[in-house]
Amino acid sequence: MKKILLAVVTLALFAALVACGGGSGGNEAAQGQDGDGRVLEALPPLTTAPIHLRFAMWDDIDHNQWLADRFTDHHPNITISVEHFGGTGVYHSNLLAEAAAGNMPDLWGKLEISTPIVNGWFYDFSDFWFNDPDVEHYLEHLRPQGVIDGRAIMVVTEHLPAVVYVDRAVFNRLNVPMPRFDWTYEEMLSLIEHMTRPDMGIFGYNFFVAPVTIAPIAKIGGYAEFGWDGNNLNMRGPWADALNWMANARRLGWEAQYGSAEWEALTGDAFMWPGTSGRVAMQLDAFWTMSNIYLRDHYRIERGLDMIPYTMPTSEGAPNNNKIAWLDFAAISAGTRHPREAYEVLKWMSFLPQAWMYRIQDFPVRIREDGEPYYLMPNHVPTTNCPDVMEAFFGILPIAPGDTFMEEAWRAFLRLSTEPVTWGGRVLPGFDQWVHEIYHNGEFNGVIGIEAAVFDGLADAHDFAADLEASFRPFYDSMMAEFRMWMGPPRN
Amino acid sequence: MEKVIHANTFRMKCVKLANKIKGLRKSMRISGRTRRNWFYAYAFLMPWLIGVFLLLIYPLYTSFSFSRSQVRFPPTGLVQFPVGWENYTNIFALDTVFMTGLVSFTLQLIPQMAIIVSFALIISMLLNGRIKARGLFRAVFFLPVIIATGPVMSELINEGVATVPAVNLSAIANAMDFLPPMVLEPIVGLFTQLIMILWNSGVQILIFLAALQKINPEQYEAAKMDGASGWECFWKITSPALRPMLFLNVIYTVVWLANSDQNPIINMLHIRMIAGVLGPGGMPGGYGHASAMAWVYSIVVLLIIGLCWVVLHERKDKDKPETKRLEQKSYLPKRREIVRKLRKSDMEGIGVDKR
Repeated sequence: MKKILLAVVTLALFAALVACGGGSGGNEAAQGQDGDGRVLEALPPLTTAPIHLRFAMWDDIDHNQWLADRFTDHHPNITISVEHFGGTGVYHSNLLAEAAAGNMPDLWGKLEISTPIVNGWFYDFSDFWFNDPDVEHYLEHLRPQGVIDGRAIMVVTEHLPAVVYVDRAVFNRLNVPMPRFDWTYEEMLSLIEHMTRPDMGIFGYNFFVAPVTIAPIAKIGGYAEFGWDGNNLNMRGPWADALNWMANARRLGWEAQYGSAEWEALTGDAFMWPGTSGRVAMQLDAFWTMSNIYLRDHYRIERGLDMIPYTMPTSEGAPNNNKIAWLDFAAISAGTRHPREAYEVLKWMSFLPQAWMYRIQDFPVRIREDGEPYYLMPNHVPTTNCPDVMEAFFGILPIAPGDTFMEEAWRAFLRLSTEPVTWGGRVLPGFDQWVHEIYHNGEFNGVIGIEAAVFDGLADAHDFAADLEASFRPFYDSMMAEFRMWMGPPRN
Repeated sequence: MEKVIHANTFRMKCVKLANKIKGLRKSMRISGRTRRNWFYAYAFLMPWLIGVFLLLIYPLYTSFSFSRSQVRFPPTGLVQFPVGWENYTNIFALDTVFMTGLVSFTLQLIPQMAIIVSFALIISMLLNGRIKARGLFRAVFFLPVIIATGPVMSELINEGVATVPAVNLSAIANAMDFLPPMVLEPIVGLFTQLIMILWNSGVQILIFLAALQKINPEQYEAAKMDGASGWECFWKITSPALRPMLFLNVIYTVVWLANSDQNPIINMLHIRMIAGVLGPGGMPGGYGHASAMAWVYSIVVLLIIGLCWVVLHERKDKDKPETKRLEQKSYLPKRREIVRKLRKSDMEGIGVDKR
């Protein structure tokens, strides 16, 4: 089976090269026009001298090293080491230590944007980016998200959409038809209420991705969390409604009460995660949960979970189809001695169709040390708009033979996940600091944290929305001042 | 003429100074043996001295220097922009989150410390008694010290085993809702960390046990012969003997809690240092700000320790007459007298009532 799969993928690889182009980089001769008819300057040639580049990451090291080695196959003078800088908890502090020693890697993945801004880590690769025809292969919606002040500074290497896992087993038990794949936000909320059956110990939902994050994107098409429109947060409408709704949902028992005595009575374990209890109709979660949990036999067979992936819904009349996702950006170090070559590596590790075909080839065959498959399914989706890559990617998704509903669900999922936006801290300078200092630690009617205050029934989110919006500005402005201190004034 | 007088006076002063130095050299002449002793002393001290300079004084100096700068880490290496005392003034003038956290920490620390020390005292007294499998119980109570380190503790907390689900927090909060939120929240917070608090008492139990085992059992025997109750024995014998250890345990507990991985202030420092590059209201953050916070925090912890010292230290001047009085009242001379009498009566062939 694996051999057939490999053969299919290899064939698709060549098909993609023919159909989408976007080879292994080095577009020095590719002078021409971009999609808007703008004349592009030729990029400088890549060096022919042997060089070594270091790429810092926190996850998927073996897979990415394998992919980097494929780059070296095409450019034998450029070797790359993908280095593990610890998990998400220590990653940035390890990078800081490396920078303090003047030993910063040439390329690095980033979790949040503020630390790199304040320390001047970004290399401005606008001269390459705005003259590179390969950028046409990059998902259009992602292109502006790595540009600040007109300067191209980062590219998405991994796109991990947020997912609503709808438990088909629970829906079948209650004899409720499954929702349509292009459902609306309002339909989801109504289903959460409808699917709550206290007499049967079934809850409408449990969340890792909260409705306060989803609602402003679903309703007003925010470009990051909390209704960010490119200039300001907009919290007075959907955010405030969603927070009040969440408090209400908790009071009315629509949300599974993890850690409570009632939950212990139902499941026998007060701390059993509701997402694997078989008692929630919808789990609002991350893309990797499918591979890490829902495809494992223990949950699928023994607990009887049958999770169908749905995209985050959009509200009717929303201006766009934006969906919240984890976008893992990577950037070039301001201290690198090989920016041109680092730029090619960055593209390769991000969106080039040929590189994506290699990724698709590697996902199903990568094995752990204990002999188990590393990925039961890919843990992120393509960042390229190449249709052949998408088709090849669809080919390696875990769909049981004959399960046409699941097949349809995945097709809809991939079709609807092409307009991702991400968490505030990843793209909005100063956002994480504001969330920590004001949103979670500010005092609201005598309670620390706005969410706690609303959940405790001591505050109405609408009363604080305007103040919260205004309070973000100084954080953002100060961080932008830091950005301009290192990078210079905005670029037209 | 004046110039000549001045020159003479100056020359005389120089001669006097030279004689003085000569005298000093003479008096400071060091024998070879002393030199050798010095050499051995410093050879033995050297690892400690190197450790102190490298691991204490230099980091302290660096931290203080950071606290008076804005620190940045560009790819080419560390850069410090001096800002004077700005980080400190920002903490007191702008950083309401840190100051609120500090007050909350202090309010929580004191009852936590009291619970840990009291629990440790009770358990150590139980473990000092004659019970079966005493060694096993001692090992059980000390076990958390070995296994419940930072990452293990974090994992246990994530699993929810550090809390008691049966405790109804809202009922506790309702019962004390007359208190201001700033006081109420730390108290309610105590109940959420009850198991963790108890886990943190292993070392304290050990210290109390060591002290309890040093008390001469004859003192208890003598007291009981005089009809003293267990309660009286505790206050008249155990408690005075444990007092120095109580002080030691209180300091140990304060320092332990102040440096714990679960301490919210430590977490806040970490966030401000790494991710928290900007503080509230656009205030410059990062390592500089975090270092200033760490210094302020250290001073607060030292003040708490100072307060404990004021309350618990042994007042020598006042204690002296008390000690004398206790010596006079001591049960030991009485016991010796009774034993002498008994021996005498034995020798005289009079039976001893062994009741």
